[in-house]
Amino acid sequence: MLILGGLVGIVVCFFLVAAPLAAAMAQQLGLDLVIPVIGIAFAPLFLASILLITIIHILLVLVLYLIIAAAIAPNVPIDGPLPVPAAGAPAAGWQLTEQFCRGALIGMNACFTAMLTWVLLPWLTQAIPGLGATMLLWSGVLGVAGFAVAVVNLMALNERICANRSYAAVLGWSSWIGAGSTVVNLIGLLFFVISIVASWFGSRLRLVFEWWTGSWVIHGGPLHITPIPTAYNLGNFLLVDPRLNATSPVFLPGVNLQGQIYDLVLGGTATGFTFHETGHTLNVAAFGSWFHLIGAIDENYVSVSFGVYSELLPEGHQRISTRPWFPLWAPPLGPVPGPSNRPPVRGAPTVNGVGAGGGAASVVIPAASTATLAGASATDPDTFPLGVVAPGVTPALGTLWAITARPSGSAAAVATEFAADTTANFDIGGDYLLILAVTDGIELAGGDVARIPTSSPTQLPFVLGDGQLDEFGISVVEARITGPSQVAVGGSITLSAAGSTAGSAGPPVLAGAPALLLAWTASPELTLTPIASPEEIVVQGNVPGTYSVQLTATEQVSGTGVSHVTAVDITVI
Amino acid sequence: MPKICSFDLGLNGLEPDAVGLPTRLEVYAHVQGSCDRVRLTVRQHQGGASIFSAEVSPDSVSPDSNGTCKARFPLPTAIFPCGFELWVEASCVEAGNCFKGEMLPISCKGPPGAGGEDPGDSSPPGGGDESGSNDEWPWPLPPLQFCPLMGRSFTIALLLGLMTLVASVALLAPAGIAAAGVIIAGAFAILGVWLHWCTVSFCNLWGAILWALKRAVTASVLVVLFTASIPVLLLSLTMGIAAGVITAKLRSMRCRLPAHTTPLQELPLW
Repeated sequence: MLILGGLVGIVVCFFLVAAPLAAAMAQQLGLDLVIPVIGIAFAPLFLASILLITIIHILLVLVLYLIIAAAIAPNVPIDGPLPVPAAGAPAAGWQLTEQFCRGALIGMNACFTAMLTWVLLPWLTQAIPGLGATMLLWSGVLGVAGFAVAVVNLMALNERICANRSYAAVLGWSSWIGAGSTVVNLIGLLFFVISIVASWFGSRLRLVFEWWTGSWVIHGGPLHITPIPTAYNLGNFLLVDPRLNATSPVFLPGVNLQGQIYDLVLGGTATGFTFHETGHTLNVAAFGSWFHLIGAIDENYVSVSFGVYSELLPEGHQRISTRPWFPLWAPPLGPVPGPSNRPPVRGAPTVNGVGAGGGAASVVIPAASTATLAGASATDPDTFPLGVVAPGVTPALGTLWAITARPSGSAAAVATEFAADTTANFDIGGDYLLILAVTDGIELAGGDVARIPTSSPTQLPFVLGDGQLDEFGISVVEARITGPSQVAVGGSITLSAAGSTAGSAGPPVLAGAPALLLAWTASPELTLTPIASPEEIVVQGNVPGTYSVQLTATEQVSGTGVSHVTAVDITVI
Repeated sequence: MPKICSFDLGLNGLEPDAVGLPTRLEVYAHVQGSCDRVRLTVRQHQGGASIFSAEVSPDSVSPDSNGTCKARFPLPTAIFPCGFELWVEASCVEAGNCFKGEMLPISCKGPPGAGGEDPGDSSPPGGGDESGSNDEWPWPLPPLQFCPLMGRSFTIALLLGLMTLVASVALLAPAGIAAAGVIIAGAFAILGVWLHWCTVSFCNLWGAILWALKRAVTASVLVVLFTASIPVLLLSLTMGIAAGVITAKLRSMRCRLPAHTTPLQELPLW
């Protein structure tokens, strides 16, 4: 059925699109036509006809796309591969329809490439001095190259060839000169240039070349507008949002999704997205520019779904475990009919040697202290994709430590947020929530994308998590003294420890026990007199000079007895 | 008080399957100084999950006569090709105080005339002994020097040939194209010597070719940008396709890929 579709596609494209278009362009350039009979038939066509023929071309692709969309729609799974005919079993009607239309798309694109490559570049560059003449001079060589690319294109009619990783390289690279890919590649080139120019004015940009399919990965730049950072493809150019990290998850506080604000931990990475997006590169190479643009409109504005045909095909090149995919293009690892990507497996991360508490307060430390974060125990069963992009160079797993909730005024920070083993400094007393997210480049350990409703002051800080991440409730003990700093000889002042806190470190170990045990000490030149509340102390000055008053706050609820000591200077005048 | 000691580490691939992937690994540590018991651990990378770990005790595999402790273990699935690098670490746990950890390539069988299957004999990867006294080794340099030299010579010759080809095609100079062909043929002659006399892993050989191709493609693209030469454009695409195919092969074998910035000196070539 694929072959039949391919033949039909070639014939239809030849007579309705490729031959008339080539004839019109050649006529305008003054080139001799390769096949004279076509010239006789279509020589009267000129520039205005090119627009009409292009519209016909787009409509043909659109019709085939819609037929496929209607055929596969009831059969797209929530995740995993689209069903394929079992070995020896006849294909279902919808599968035959998809095959025929896919073949026709391939045939049309191959015909277009064969007929147009020799004339399209000279025609597009004719107004550029020097370049246009050079292209015209070499149009014969381009023609031969175009036929070679068309043959490569037609090989996509064989699904076993499509599944070959070497074929992906040939197809992806050949797309640079195939006429069928030119429109999208020119837009991609324009975006590439804009991104580079923007980087001269401060826009962050990282350029990586994906050698397998011959594609530029433009990580960064200004051409990203979606609320969630993602990536998109323009032929041999892939554009990845600058908010994504190359290999680690990212934490994005305050992301507005469908009217609700989330703290969002995204599992996808720039490196991981490359595999899906290079699947689009193969789509463009096999089915052409118009298919790609129609698919982009369908995905983003019509169906708004990962289940559309133009997304199922490239997803077969990546295979996230929670998305549907079509097993056409070769995945970077494993057999073609093989399983999806296997997400990483959570390890047993610790903070100061204490394991994750599922959101409950699990670690108590004094203020202004540093905690040791150990998160290297997660594993990735298939080491894909990070482990295979550049083994030994990229890590097999990317990690993120982030403080997602903290007391007001805190400037606590993780020392190296993307390192598996690092430290974090907790500056002031109160409750903190620390998360560890681990990704294999595509998926998080525990979930594809973790969405955390943003905390509000009225919410308990330890109920943020949705269970997808390793979470640590951190209670920080802080002794805090407030009050005057001067006292007259023989006079007295009152200092308060009411600002001291241990956070809400879970249920008390001893029922009714106070959260904090407060102890005051001072230099002998000062006299301390307790009053009714242990949170206050009366200080009397006896001798002129500056003396120290110390407060020790010892947390009483976790059983660990963590203390914090602070001191203030009191001047006796 | 524990005595000071040090280790020389090695990692060997044993019992290759039908496609040449080792099904067992052997890790060894040559102990210098005093140490009665060694813990040997193999990880995929530093700090990664342990693939294998064992304490080599006098009751199991004792240090042999030249002070080498070794342990063998099977791989549930043969996925690591010869030359693939794993993290190997050894720590003395009794009567000594030393630790060493490093990334090591899996060394497979020795070449003709190599120093034997026992990796503990500290034969150089290329085979033979370091003095070059092996009767079947005809080269004046010992394998430890000869094999990297051949690898680098092949890589440089290939790059030179490809660069000559790019320049000649840009200038449309048939003589230059012929010269490029001769240089590339010479490179493959060197490759023949390299393959015959040295143990060259799949990863290292194709990594070296990819290294040269990446630079040649970059050079040809620059030429295209400045000359708008269609023949060079087609040549760069052809070389790019070759680089793409090799990249896919290396990834599927989980080999380390040479980056565009990897200097030749850091390319593993033996």
